[in-house]
Amino acid sequence: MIIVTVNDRLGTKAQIPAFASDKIKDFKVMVAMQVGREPHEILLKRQGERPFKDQLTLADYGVSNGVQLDLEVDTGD
Amino acid sequence: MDAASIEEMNKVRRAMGMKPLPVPGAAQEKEATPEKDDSTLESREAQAYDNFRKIREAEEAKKKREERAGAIKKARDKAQRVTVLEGKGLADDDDDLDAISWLKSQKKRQKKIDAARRLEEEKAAAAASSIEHTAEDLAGVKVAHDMASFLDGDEQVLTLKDTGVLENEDEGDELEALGLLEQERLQEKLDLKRKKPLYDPNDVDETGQPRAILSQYDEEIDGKKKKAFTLAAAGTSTELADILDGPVQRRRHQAVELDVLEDAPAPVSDYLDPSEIKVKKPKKKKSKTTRQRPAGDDDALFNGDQAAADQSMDIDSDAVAYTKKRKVFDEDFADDDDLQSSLALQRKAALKKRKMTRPEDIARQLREDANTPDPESAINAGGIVIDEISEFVDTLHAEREEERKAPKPKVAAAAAVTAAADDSSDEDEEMKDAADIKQESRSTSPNAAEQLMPATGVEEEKTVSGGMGATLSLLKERRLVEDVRGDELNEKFRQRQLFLAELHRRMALFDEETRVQRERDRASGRLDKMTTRERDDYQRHQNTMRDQHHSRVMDQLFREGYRPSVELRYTDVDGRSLTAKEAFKELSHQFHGKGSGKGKTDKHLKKLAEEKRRMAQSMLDASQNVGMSTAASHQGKKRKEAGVRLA
Repeated sequence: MIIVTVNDRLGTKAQIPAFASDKIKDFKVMVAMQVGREPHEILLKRQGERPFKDQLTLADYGVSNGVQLDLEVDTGD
Repeated sequence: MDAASIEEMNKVRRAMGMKPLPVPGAAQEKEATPEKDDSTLESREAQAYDNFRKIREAEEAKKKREERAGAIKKARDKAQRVTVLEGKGLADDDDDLDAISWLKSQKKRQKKIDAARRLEEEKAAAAASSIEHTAEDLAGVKVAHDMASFLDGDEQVLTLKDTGVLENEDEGDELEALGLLEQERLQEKLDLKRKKPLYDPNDVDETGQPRAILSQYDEEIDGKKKKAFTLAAAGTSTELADILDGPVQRRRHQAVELDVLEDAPAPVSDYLDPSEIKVKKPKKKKSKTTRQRPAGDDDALFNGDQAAADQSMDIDSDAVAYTKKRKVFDEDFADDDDLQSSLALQRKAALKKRKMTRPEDIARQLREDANTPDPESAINAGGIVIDEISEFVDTLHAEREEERKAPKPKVAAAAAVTAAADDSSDEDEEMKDAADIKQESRSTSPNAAEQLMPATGVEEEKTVSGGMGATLSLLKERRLVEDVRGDELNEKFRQRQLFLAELHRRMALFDEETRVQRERDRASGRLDKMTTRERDDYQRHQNTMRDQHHSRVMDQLFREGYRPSVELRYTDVDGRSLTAKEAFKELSHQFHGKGSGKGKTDKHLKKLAEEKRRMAQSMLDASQNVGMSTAASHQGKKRKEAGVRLA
């Protein structure tokens, strides 16, 4: 089990336990539960990198214990 | 992360059909059942964790072990440092002996050591003497030299030849003498330098059979024949005997060659020793007799001819002819004479020496002499000597003769041409004699045809130097001069001249009348009666009368049909004729006292320059659009053809 920190740099910061093998889509549901936004409005990415895709897992992006991800609003484009 | 929040998460995860997170409190039971299958990512990760842990543990164990070993070693070292050395020291040996007795004992010890060494040496000597080298030891060893080369009696030191390991295996040990080797090499070089006659049917080798054809290449094809023999314990003497019985010529030949190499202290110099030189005074050179001969004498082309003519009478009387001939020849090379003679002497001496030592070379010498006759003898033989220099000189002379005849007409032609060029550039042709001009024109006529029609087939552009007519036609060609209606102008000019002449005539008539009148007045004394003032008035009256008459005459002439041509023509400071517009501008500028601005002035100047350039351009210049090339380009455009006129 890893604990991932999600931060939108605007005051919202949440620590979310997950498995590294979780899909990004499922992880977004967890984040949505914590942050209070719809899962499809959530866009996750490492700082300065491209947004994560739903089909891949956290492990695919090399997310391990204690990693911080940037949280942005996904406008759909 | 506390357990409560994880529980919360797990609810959601379960709802989504995901694996629940492990709750810290309840984690133990789950982890207690290790998953053996490594099919899933989790199990593999768990395995990885296990492996990592194991490695860490192993590392730690190793570290501990090393630490322990280090501690043990440290302890042992410490213990060793503390222990005291046991056994006897130098000083501990016999502590009852004093210094003298110790010295004595040392002497004894020295003796004992010496005795042991001597014994060893004796043993070694005995062993060495027991394996003494004899001739049998060298049996079967090759020597890389001809046996004959050892017959000189000198002591030779043979050494083992330096070869590769494999070659040594193949051929066995070989002995060679460094000195002899050097000599052989030198001999080879000398042989290469000396030119041998390639094939000689009379040549017979030492066994009495004629040599094979092209035997000189045998060495190159088969490799060199090595003269070598093998040492044998008993057989050496027989082989030696063989050699001694063998063809004498060959042996002696070889020996002689070596003799030459060894005994001759230095190659005999071709030149005299400076101490022996006697300097002869050089003969005074005669003036070059060979060159002096009548220039017109065309029959005697060759130098040799001359000489032959001189000598023709005494060809048969050899001796006299030789001497004389010699003289004629030597006069040119007088300074070489002494040198040549001394050299010949030296060579002869050297040859003699060689003949003494090498009788068999005489034959070869003779043969060579027969093949290549001595240059001196060739000279003495009489007749013409044609060498490169004489031939060169002869050809030179022959050409000179031809040239002397040829150029004359050329010069004449050239003169004519220059004359023509001169008078064409000269403008006042009328000043010359008509006959003169005719003559010149006749002389130029053959060239004129050539000049008129050059190779291009296009008529040459006329030049200003060709005179007024040429200039005019040039300007016309370039359209720099409008085609003025010449006959009209001429007519006008003629009419004007007629008019002026008529006017002149009538005025002259009138003047004559007035003069007669005046004479009459003077004769009648009418003028004398008048006062000065009256006279002045009278004169003035006369003048006005004349003017009146003049205008009356002109009026009459005009009425008779003369039409004067009136033309307003304006020119600027440079003499260009101006159009009405330009003239107006000019006048306006003059009137207002100021000209155009800088831009307009520049434009104007540019236009002027352009016009000047256009006038200066060549008619046939293809690079610009002038004259012919314009026409060509227009044609091209009309036909929609692309292309560039070359040259």
